[in-house]
Amino acid sequence: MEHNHATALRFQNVSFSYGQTAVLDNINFHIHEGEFIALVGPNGTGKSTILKLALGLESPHSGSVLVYGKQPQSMLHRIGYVPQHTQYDRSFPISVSEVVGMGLLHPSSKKANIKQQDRISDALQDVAVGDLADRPYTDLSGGQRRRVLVARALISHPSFLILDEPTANMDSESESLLFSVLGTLKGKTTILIVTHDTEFVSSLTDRVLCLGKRGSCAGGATIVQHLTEPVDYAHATLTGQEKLKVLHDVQIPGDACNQEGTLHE
Amino acid sequence: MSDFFSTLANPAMPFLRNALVAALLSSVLFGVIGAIVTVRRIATLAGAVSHAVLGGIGLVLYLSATKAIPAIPPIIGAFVFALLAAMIIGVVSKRAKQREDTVINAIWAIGMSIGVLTMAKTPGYVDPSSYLFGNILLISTTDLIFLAVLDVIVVALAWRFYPQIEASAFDEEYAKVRGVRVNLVYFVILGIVAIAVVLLQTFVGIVMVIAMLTLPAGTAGYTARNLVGMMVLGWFYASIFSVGGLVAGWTFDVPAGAMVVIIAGMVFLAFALAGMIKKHFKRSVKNKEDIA
Repeated sequence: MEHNHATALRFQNVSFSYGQTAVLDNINFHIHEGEFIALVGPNGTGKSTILKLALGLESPHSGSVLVYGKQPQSMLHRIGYVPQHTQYDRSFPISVSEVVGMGLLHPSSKKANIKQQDRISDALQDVAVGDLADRPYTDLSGGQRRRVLVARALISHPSFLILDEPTANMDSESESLLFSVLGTLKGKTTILIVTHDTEFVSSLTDRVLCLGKRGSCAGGATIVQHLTEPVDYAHATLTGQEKLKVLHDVQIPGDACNQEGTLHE
Repeated sequence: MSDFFSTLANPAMPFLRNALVAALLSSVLFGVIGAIVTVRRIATLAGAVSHAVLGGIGLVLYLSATKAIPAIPPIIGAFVFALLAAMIIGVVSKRAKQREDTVINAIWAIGMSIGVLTMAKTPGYVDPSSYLFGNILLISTTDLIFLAVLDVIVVALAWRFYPQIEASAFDEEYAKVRGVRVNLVYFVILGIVAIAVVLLQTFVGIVMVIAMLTLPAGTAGYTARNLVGMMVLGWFYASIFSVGGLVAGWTFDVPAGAMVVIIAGMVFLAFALAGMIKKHFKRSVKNKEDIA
């Protein structure tokens, strides 16, 4: 697959800190339109901060973050976002349909799309939870809630999909289903998936960006790219999907551009 | 109870009719704002604002009585203190979450203390209990007009911006990603809570207004399927509690505000108990099925 497309996301010399605590140190990488990127790294290295910067929820202290060449805040309508959403009010009265409908939310208008209900049904069908539409969201299992959040992100047909640890606490059936949905989007939608599993990534992955503390002067995390290789011991029936092993001993600069789009050994 | 209805129909005694209209108008605010306060979990914040109101009332009474300022209605001081308290807590809550509790409690206590001190030093007799516990029978036609106007504003805003209100309460980060100005939504809610608390304290008093902002909505939360359902059901329950409390207060010659809160509290506890029994029953049925 050729990736000589426009850049969907670019981090250029980005540094960020929370107070005196340096989180990111001079981060450079870019993602082309249509690429499937896995952002891996141990817990606490700043993966979620990268997503917040990409979504315009935080601003870099130095450097720039551009989505389709513009400030993230002006490009939010093209982004679908699946947050972790592990902390929520378990007594909040809201149905699954209403949660998914939030994916079509306008910043200030009340106007609902006349086909909103159809789109909600379609989005739920796409992630195989169409029968849950009228159920209270808080009654669902962890895996079902994840699928609903994916449906919420997909309902607006985003050109750029960002998923924050989507498989955390997910059963293998849900995980398999999630990746089959992502497989249908591959090439058409730019996908950035964040995971703390630093050993394996989905076989859909074009490139692996690895965030980690590598002894930078400022103490924040830096980013490199790793090659991957197919493995047969992480079997699909066990993991819910075909996987690639991340080769940590090969480090490529984060901003290195591969026109082939894939970085497999 | 027949005495209540005969007094209500007596043209020479408009105060009871005013009280009844106030009860029904307040119920709209208790239902709609109460649902938002409950799902956003800002009840403690609303409690601090309502108690800070006493400081504003006391200060205006003192300054007016000592002629330091021209005589103005104490409700003006209440509005200023309520809005100031809400905005301070709001800014701290957004900028320094870890200090939120401290600031809420400080404003709660400082507001009350200013009120008690200034009322004690105000020339003449000032009875703080009518502000603390409300006196629904002293409600004027002007109070009713203010309540009606606020009802219209609150219902109109809740209807117009319902998707944004619901999304920012359920998942604020996601609402922000969808372009909703979540901080603006938050501060408008705080401002409206502050204004509502001032108007509602005439009905149930400063101490008990927070109970009525949480109990009807909390009761509704046991059966409501969504936020709008919680608002409408909360409105319904608040009407029943308010009118019931007023009738009981009149009949038994006890403060109506306190009766309203007692009825609301009893019903809420009954719903909570029923919910626990239902959950327990469901669990034992499931356990039996699993064993079978």
